[in-house]
Amino acid sequence: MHISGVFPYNTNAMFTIINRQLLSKDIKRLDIVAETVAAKALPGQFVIVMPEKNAGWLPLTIVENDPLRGTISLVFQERGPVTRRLGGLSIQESVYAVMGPLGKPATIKTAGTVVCAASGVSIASLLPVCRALKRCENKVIGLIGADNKNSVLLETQMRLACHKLMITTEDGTYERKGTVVELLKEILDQERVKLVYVIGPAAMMEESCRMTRAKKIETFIQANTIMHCGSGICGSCRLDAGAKPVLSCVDGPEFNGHEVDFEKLKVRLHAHDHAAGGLQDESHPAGVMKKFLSGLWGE
Amino acid sequence: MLQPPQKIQSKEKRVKNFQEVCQGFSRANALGEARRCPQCSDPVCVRACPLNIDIPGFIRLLRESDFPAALQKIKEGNALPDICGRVCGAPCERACILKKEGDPIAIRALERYVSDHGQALSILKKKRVSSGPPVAVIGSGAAGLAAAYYLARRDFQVTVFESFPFLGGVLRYGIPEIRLPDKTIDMAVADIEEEGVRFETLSRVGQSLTIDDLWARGFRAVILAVGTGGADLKQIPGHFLGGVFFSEEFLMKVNVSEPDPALINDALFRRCKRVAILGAGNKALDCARLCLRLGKAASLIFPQAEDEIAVHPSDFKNAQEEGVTIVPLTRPLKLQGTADQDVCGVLCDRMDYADPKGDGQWQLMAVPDSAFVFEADAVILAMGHKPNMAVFDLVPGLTSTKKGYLWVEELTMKTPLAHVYAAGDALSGQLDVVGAIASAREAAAAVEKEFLEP
Repeated sequence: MHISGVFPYNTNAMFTIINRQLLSKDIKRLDIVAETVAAKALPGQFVIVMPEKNAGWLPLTIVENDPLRGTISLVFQERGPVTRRLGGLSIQESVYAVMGPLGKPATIKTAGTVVCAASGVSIASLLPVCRALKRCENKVIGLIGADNKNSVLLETQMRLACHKLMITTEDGTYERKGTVVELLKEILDQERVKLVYVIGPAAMMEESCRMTRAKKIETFIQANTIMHCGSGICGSCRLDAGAKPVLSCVDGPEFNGHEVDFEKLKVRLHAHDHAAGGLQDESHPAGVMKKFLSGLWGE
Repeated sequence: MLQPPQKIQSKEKRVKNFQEVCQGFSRANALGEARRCPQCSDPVCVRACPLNIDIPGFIRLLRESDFPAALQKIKEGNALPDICGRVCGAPCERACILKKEGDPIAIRALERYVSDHGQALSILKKKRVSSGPPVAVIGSGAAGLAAAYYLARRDFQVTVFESFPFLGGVLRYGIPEIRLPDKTIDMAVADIEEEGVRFETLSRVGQSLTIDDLWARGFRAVILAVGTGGADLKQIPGHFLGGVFFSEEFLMKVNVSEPDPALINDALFRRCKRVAILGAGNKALDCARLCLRLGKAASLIFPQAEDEIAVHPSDFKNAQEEGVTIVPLTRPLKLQGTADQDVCGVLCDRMDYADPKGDGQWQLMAVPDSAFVFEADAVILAMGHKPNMAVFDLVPGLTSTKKGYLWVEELTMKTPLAHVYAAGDALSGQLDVVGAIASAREAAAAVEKEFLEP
């Protein structure tokens, strides 16, 4: 449906892209001018970005906010139609709307030794949490994982945000070979860890929580269920935590890892797959475009 | 006597597009219907209307073909006549004395006709400049827009804050184009802008905009019209299965987030053929009608009898014509899933009227051993809603009622916070549009009273 144009009433809100960077094969970083969001955002909160008018909504963690410049940084992987549209915008273009900051901020406290683990594109969501924990005088150990050397994200920033950073790759092309979960197991045996913060695929978070539950270490995760409205209306991002249904957008995205029902979380993550017939890309014009281009250049 | 027909898209045509179904009365039919009104000396319709619009009064002006005057008459009571003329639950029609003998007067359709044809030429409109104390209204749904209108008319400088990038709140994302076109909402907003109201989008109270920010910006009073909307996560076991959507999610996707409704089909349920919609309200009926337009077979399942459901009769008739399957007296108990955790059916049982005590008080009860599975590839849940508790986290200091809605003092509409008032659905759950407007009018009057009495 076409919303026939009542925006912008807020004429000073032009969400101009001032920097755009390709971090890895299909992962991009955008710096967007959004003064209110930059001034109010706290670590762990997210925004909903609408790349164009009526072009879908996209929840993204605020990776960095600079209140002086009035900008926020977002990192995302181009996978579906909406992320492609966002990735297709260039510097000096503006996105239609940035709604936020939304969600509850992350629990930041002085605990002692803290382990922060993430893999893939989730490293971007972990970065603001690591920074805040370090500022709170914790000893922060960062564990990040990726498929190969080229897809390790934000390594420099993570090194600055942690006291010690360990990297694993699935194929062993960089630093150690293995998964983040294996690395976490080693660290939990070696150090007296007081707090664990895990962000990543459901299976990885589940495995990590199982280990920390056995050792009775407080664990936080960020639930990445399919989100739509971001304000507790639509119920799309529902999951079970503490044996009751909660919404990731208003009650989270951070949850106590020992309370989350991961079986239901996994179901919710793939809730649209069967009904919509697998990944949405092929049916979508953007997907057709990619096929067409790949034919040209033999991607 | 029967109501004259309204212009309406033919049923073959309308199931293939997403445009407004009913186009309203023709001039001759509107005048004919206005003449049918008996002009009671003690009009029951006025008492039934929460806004107490002078219904015989505007119908009298309509008979004389004085549409602008008729519109002014309605606007004395109602801030949003073009929206009410399309989606109001029309308690006035249920009260009309002609209902006993035949069709009641089509008051809703007449209101719509007046608001469509009574607008002054835009060149004659003048933007009002207010000079009174600044007041902030949070939320731009029916209650927010109405509160802004009433306050601006009393010379307050009103600013409306909205968290989404579009105005209209649930009117925009909750009611589909087939019943309430976006153009109508835009026109209502433009009308209210004429009264000197300013709008700021993308301002979410408590997050990008706190109440203290509002005081710092010089506002002297705040009306919270944040609505109630929230999917009820406990309405049925099995809601977490794949292929299950809440009506709020489905309507929001179709109404505001995609340019082409056909893309919704791809994103949500391309593989599904049969969709079961659980519920009997306007939301459920809207979902069913949209599903038909996406090429699905839609069935509406609800435990009440067919004549007990709370939708406007014309909407229900239109939906049936379009081919929505109605499954009344059927109570959904549980959603059933496949091994892959995708929904495959709804476990239901039959309901019927029974007189268990034998004292003549018939009531709806489940028929024993009548459980059966209603097969469906996708399920839309529209059985209820819960209060959106987020507002209590975002604005500290508010108190809730026992049911979880926002608590306000009766009559004064004051929340426990000083100079903060509340209006609309947030107070009592899902009201009608007209109920929300009525409570907004009360809140606006309360704000005015605060500034009149020093």
